[in-house]
Amino acid sequence: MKVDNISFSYRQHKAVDQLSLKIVENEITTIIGANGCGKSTLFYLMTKNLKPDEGTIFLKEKNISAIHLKDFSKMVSIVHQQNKAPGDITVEKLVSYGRTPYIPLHRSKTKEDYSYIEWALDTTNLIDYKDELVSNLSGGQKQRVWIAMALAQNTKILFLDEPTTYLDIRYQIEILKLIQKLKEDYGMTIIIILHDINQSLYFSDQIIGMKKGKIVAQGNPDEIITSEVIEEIYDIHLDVMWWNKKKFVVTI
Amino acid sequence: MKKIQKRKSLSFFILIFLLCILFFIAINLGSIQIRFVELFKGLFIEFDENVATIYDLRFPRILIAILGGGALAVSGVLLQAVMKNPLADPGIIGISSGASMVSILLIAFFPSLYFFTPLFALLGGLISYILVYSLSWKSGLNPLRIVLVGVAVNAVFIGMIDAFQTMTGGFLSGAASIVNANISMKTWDDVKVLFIYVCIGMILALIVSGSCNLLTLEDKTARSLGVDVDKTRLLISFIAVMLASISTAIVGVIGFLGLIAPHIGRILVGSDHKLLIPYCAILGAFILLLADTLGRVIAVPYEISPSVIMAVVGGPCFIFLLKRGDKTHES
Repeated sequence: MKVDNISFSYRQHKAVDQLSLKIVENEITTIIGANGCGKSTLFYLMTKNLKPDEGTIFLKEKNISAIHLKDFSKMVSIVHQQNKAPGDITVEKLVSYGRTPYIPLHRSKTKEDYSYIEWALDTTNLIDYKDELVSNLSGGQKQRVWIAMALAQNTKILFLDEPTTYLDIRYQIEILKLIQKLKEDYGMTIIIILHDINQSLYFSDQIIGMKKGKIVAQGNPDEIITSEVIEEIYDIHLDVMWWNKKKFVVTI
Repeated sequence: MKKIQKRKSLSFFILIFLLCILFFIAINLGSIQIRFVELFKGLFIEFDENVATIYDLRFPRILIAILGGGALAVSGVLLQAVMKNPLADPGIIGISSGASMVSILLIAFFPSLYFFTPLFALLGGLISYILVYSLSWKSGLNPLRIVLVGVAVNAVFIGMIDAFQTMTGGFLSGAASIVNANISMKTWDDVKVLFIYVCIGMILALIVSGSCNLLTLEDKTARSLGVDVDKTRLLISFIAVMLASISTAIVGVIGFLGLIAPHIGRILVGSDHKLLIPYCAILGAFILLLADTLGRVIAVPYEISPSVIMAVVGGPCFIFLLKRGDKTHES
């Protein structure tokens, strides 16, 4: 995926300003930045939820505006930050919605559809919960259900908007390890918005730091994350240290 | 899981059984009474005067209650899915009154176009729906705002109907039957018209049942699954308005049915629209036939309109549902 010189404004406020970037295949790219820096707007633009005022976003050399929504959803799956489902829906049923782009109105699911649903449940360790109601699951399990639904779409690119928000530390790590597994075992390209800088450092192959709708830092986490860059992105001074051959930011 | 499936199947079975019983009771209510065997014989084997009378007088009324009730209930299910609002009902939000107003004007000024009433009712229903939808849209649809705007639009149309009544010094019989939801004088011609439109509407509703399920998710989640949310909403809305308007054109204005049936349906068979829509079609048929049958017996020799029965029962139900709020979970 390639973003070429895009801009987007909400009335007078420019949320994304002449921004260009390239997402590397089979890598985890994390977008970080302070609240209101434009990362969610960039996320919505890249996932076809918003249309850029200027510039173009390419997916496999094709302008995504020209790609039909159904075809786009066969190439890109998205896990949004907030999700809502009926109180009586089971895990398997919700995950099966991931096959929607492949099922026309007049036909029901095929063996192939069921095999992808089974695979998504298996990959997210939800196979034993498939008959459970989603509303009865814990926060971390629910998040895995939404990821499983996205996996059932069988796409190579997965977008996640703050997937660890509202989860306790155990579930945060569990979700991030699952995301890492998706990259390593299934060769997926993952674009993720994260608030935790240390988690970004640990789990990303590439970090994009944003401020006022522009990219202020981009590259390998170990190379680009420094105290100066953190200060540039968040307007706060934080020390960056090495521990166990890994960089981390002292957040308190 | 199997237990839940069993409960759902049982709910279907019991409801169909109750509808059959009620159908037979409704046939036998009045001066002429016949046994099931006689009815079967008279309908399919040899002529029977009593059966012929029932066939001409009671059958159309019963079938209209069944078809109209089913259509209104399914319309309620679809509207609630589209508006993400458990309080949406074609009667409450003004679709029925819009449809009835246009029908009444047509009957009053162009009586020769009587058989096109359903199509004009659809036009009236669509005008109401567009008004309610556009006036309550404010960067999203708020359930309470829809109801408030709907109540206002409904009041305007009811007021216009009343004004028309005053100006004309009374009602033409056709117009009055729409306003009062009087189905006692309906004929087989009415049944035929209603049957055609309701069948089309029901088939379309079943086709879009999967899309209704997807609309229960957040709009952006549905979009990420390749669903064109706006177009889907438009299509489902049209089917809902069609079912409600056609039903209003023949049966008259019946409030609260499209509200009560989906809620009972959700409790018994769950929120999967692939089950909920057929279940509510049967449940709506049962409720309206029950209301009509009760109306025939509780104040003999007078008849109480099913719309009155529905209003008396539906009002308290509406308040109860308003207090209960919706039961979706967020994560």
